[in-house]
Amino acid sequence: MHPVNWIIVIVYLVYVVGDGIRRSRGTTDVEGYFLAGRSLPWWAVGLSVMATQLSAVTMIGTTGQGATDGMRFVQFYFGLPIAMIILGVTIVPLLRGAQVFTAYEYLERRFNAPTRSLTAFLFLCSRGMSCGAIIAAPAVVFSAVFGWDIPYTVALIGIPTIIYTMIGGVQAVTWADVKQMVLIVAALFAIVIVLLVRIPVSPAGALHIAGAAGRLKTFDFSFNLTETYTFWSGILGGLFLMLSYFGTDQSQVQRYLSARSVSEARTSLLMSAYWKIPLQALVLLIGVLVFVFYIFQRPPLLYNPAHESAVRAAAPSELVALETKYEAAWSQREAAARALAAAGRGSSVAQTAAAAFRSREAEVSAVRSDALELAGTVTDESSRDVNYIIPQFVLSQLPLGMAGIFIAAIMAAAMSSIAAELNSLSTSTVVDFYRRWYRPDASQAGLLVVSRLATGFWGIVACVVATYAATLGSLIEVVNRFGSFFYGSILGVFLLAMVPFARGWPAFIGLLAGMSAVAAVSFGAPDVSFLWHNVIGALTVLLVGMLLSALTGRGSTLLPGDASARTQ
Amino acid sequence: MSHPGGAARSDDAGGHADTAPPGEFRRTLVRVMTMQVIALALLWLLQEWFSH
Repeated sequence: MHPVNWIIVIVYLVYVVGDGIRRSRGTTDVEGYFLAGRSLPWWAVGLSVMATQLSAVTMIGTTGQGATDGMRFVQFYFGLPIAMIILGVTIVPLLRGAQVFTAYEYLERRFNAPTRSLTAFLFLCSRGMSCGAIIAAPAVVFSAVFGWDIPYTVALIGIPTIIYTMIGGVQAVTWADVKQMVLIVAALFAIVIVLLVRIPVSPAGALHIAGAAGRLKTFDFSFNLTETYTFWSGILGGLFLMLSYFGTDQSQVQRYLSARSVSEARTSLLMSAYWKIPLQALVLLIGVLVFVFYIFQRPPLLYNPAHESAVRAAAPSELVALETKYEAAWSQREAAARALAAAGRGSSVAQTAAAAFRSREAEVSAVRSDALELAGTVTDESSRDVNYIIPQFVLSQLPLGMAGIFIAAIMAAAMSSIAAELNSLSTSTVVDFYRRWYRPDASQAGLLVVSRLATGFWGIVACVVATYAATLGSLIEVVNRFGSFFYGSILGVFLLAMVPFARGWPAFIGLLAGMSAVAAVSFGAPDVSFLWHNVIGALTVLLVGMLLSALTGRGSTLLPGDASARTQ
Repeated sequence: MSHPGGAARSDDAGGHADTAPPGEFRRTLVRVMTMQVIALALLWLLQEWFSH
């Protein structure tokens, strides 16, 4: 990368860390460190919620997915606005009213200490691992693109984030998120403008080409439980996933607990509801436009430069043969695309041009598939070539300076997600375990020191996990699968908390039953796509918890917000 | 506990109360849902207009 681009990245890193340290001034207690004294404005919390959810995977993987698979992934978010509205009138006032630090703290007041500790423990295990995966995803890509060893790229992303999160707490995290979100959106719009300028056909022609290749197909109304991205899995499965994520995951709950009031917390969630689908559509559209761009500008056969080098060294003759075939297929596809763009829509000429283009596109895809298979055989690892499409485009096609801004935006996306995770991991460690079980009478100054140490500890854990996860691709899948076992189940416990006659131990057993049910469907008994796992987990907990509560009698319960509830 | 920043917390006082005008939340809700319908309609038009 050009030195000017590196200077932009370094200036950004120094600024984020410096600003984080500046924000730490005046923080004297854990409420200030973890919740900013519940004093943040709605727009800052809203941008922080969006920045936390928009990770480097979105910037790299989702854009790449747009290029190879089109717009249909946006269906994943169809349930989000409804989830935000439901949370705004249920969980937000419930948790804000209870004046808790963590979502799990509320479960002890409503049910019992074991339910709180188990949910908090599951959160720590899952988020500790997934935080590593969040660092690993861009670290692997940067490693391949820049030719650095993975520990260095992990450190480049991880260490600045640990420093400003550890010192500045949630104040630093939230205000860094605000600036990072602005940087990310600016970079996304800039890349759209560059693409529209550089694609040699009109925007309408570009969309005709994308449409003919199936990249603009967004809606799939088939009701198929094994298909991941359909309208129904997005609306129903996505609704439960978003309810679980935004309603029970401490990394999100902590964002709106730091808002000034219930109404500002609600508004911050509605801000996310307002912008999420348009923003995600924009991210995918960038991928679609990059696909169209590479129809007119010959791309590498393999986008992953590390795999390309490995294949060239191990199987040079096979690679050259594939490249020759690719060159011919690509040239024919380019000619077909120009004819399609000129034909417009509706006429029989356009239909013929579209059919010819699709046929050429299939030939190019077939050669690419052969190349990916060869790379997989040579390197003995999954290629994940899709994750390298955007970095390759950014570094080879964007003008000087803009590549640096986009790389800084990818780092911003990673850092905003990691910072929120570290902050919430530290909160749960200190509030749900250290202060609850070990030092209930600890002083504010002592808790503040422990909180900063806990943030640093989880940061180091995340970096270590990232370093190993980067080389063990299947580990990330195991971690994700493990995480999905209890996401919906924890939501089920919170839903159960709103049932007046539900009781402590039935809730605990229900949680175990929900996790078991999700584990069963995860291993194919029966086979159900992962977006439905949260629905199954939540409903199982709710049914088992209600049934056992009804069977074991209606004992005394602590209703939400009960003043006699214990406070830790 | 102290509250650095000292910002207003009126609608948290006493637990679940929310002093925001009910009409304001409804209006925000209508705006959010209108935006979603428009976004989905645009995506639908994009899909249908440019499919061959």
